[in-house]
Amino acid sequence: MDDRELIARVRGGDPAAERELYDRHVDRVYRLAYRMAGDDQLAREFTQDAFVKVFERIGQFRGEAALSSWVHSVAASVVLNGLRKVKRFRQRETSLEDAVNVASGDRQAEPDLKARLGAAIARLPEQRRMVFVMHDVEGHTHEEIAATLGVQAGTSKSQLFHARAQLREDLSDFAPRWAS
Amino acid sequence: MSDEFEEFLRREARGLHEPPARVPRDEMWTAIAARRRELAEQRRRRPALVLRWSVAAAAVLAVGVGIGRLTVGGGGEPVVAGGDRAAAAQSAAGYRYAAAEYFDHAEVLITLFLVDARQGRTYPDAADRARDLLSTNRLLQDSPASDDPELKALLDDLELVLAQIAQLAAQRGSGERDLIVRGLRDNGTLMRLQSASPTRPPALYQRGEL
Repeated sequence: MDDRELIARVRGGDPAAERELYDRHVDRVYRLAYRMAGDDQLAREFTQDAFVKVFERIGQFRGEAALSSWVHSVAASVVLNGLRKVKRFRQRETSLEDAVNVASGDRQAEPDLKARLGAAIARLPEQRRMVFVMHDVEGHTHEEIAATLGVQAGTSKSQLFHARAQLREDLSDFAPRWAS
Repeated sequence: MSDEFEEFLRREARGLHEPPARVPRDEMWTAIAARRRELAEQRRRRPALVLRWSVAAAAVLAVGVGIGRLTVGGGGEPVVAGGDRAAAAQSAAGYRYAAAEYFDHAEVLITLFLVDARQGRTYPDAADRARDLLSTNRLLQDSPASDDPELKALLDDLELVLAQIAQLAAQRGSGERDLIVRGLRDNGTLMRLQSASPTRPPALYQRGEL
């Protein structure tokens, strides 16, 4: 079933089509929410809220962008707004402790550097952080990021440039470690 | 140097906040379906709620007209009634706005409380936040916002939960926290808070808030 037919069925109230739309996109939405929130409960809340909005607004989708871009733009908006609300309310970002207690790859940085990296990423402004996460962590292209965030590809590149520059500045005292 | 740093970032950042391999699809789908049912039900009931607000506004308006006529005599001055109509509409919108803002804050507090409870902790400001919200809750309970039975029930449940969270710091221990979590889940408090969204003024949606 292609996207056009799927959308028509969802608009017609077909429960199987709704589930199909959800299954096609939920993994990517949840992964992004989790990467940004760093917490399963918040990631679930954001993902659920995003899909509730997708189904509520599917009638407004005009097909000017790909369905996947539209779904992820709704999700990105939910995640960014949710994180801002949480930040305002809690007045504390992802803690250093959270950054330490994370899974790690084969070639690990030293714990102190890893913790510093986690904290530095958490300090990035939300949209800049989302561009960094989508590009450098999740491997999306600038065109995909631009479609998701409703910006130009050049803006995405610029945000990534500034994010990396800010991270480089925050981690400058570790420079010999990654250069070696 | 630049490439090395970017390579370092990509390699190490992938290990941060790494999502679990299994996405909880079915659990989230169940929650989404429940939330959508709540929204549909809310939408079905909304005309009654709007009517109640209209009746309240009309009642204030009628009093305003009466006062206006008594004040200025038989000829009456429509300016007075018009002013009261605007005031009544503003008042109703004000209560709705206050309730919507309050539900927003309560939703965040409870979500964060549940997040921390799962990790066996209570975040330091929770009790203070709960006390702040409790004051607002009591004001709303005494306002026309609680004329709606559904909102009143939600405000009553929230009063209990907030009072429990406000006292948590003094009691310590996980037993009380677990009781609160169980109560929240049994009563579906978070979902009911989220479902209160459709009654929020459109401006809140337009501002892109959750």
